[in-house]
Amino acid sequence: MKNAMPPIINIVGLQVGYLMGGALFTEVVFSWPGSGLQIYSSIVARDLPVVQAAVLVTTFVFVLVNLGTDVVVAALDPRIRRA
Amino acid sequence: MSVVNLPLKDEPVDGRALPLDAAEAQMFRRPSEWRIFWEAFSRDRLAVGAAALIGLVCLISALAPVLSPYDPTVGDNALRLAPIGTPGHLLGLDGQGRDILSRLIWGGQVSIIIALLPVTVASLISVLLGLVAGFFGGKVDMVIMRTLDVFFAFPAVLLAVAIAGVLGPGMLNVMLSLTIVLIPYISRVAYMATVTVKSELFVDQARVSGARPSQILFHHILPNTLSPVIVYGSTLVGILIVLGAGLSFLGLGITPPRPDWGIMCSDGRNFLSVAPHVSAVPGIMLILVAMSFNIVGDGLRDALDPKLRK
Repeated sequence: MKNAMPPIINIVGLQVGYLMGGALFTEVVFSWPGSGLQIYSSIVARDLPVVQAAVLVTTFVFVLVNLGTDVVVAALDPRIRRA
Repeated sequence: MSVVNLPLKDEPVDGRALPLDAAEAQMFRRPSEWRIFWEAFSRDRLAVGAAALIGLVCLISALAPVLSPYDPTVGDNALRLAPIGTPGHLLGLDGQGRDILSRLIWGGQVSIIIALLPVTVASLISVLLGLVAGFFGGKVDMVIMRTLDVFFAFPAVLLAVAIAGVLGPGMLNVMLSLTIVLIPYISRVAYMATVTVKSELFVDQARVSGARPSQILFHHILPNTLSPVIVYGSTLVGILIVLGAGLSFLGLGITPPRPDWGIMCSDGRNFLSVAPHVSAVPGIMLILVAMSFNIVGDGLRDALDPKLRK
């Protein structure tokens, strides 16, 4: 279990990014008020500063999540911790 | 790799008619790379079937002006939302009374070009970037790969939507945004392949025997980085068809009167409970073609990698 986890955790981290992109479509289709709909409506309104900010925030979250997965993987695998 | 055991069917087995050394040469002739590849690929029935389906869809889309039974942009309002099997309209009509089969045929053109062209262009650029970064290493490596890492930080779909949104709708802009999104991913693959191949003995051997760096790069390393890139690219086509459809769906891709599978799905969502076929038919086509590209990609991987050939 402990040895099987690191690759799965890494994939989960990457999937978060994929899901945040996917959320965009879901939010537009069902008009749920989320970050995806925010990006979409500001793109349609050509409100570029909002687009930039929203993409930056989402990217920041994505990078943080991946940092988190790296920390967890390092905690689980001594080879990565020491490298 | 079982090169010697391959049956050489269409070659003369007995060499009596030939002079001895020619016959011998023929017997020990190594089959061409294409032949090895085809022997391995054709053994994978599923992949061959998927490739045939893709070929068929491409052919039908290319022949759209001949095959399409109706004008894809002109509707018949009397028959709006007619179901599948309506006489004269095999797959029914959409919300504006346009023939779904015609729109499907015309839309295939757009959907497939929007997926294939960015992958091809991005692969060419990425192979160059990955090759240069991996081969020269050091500062060049740092500059190229770290720049691409910046693009890696953005979730792919979000980046595509943002770029397409900033550039404005249109087929060219969608393809441009998809190309930009793909480059870091394919470059990574090309880079890893280059770094692995660079440390192989035959590269050292070439260097020792006096090959110029450009010769080593293009004759010895490039052919070995191509196959992972081709395989990765072919699996990306499936993802791209869906992503391109998604962009059109959001209104960032193809502009409305022009049919595209993504737009067709999007158009149908308002009638989903009344006439599900309007969205379902293009949706099923999208899934089929995207899946076929993934299966072909898997087949290519098995056929191009000597270690995976059975």
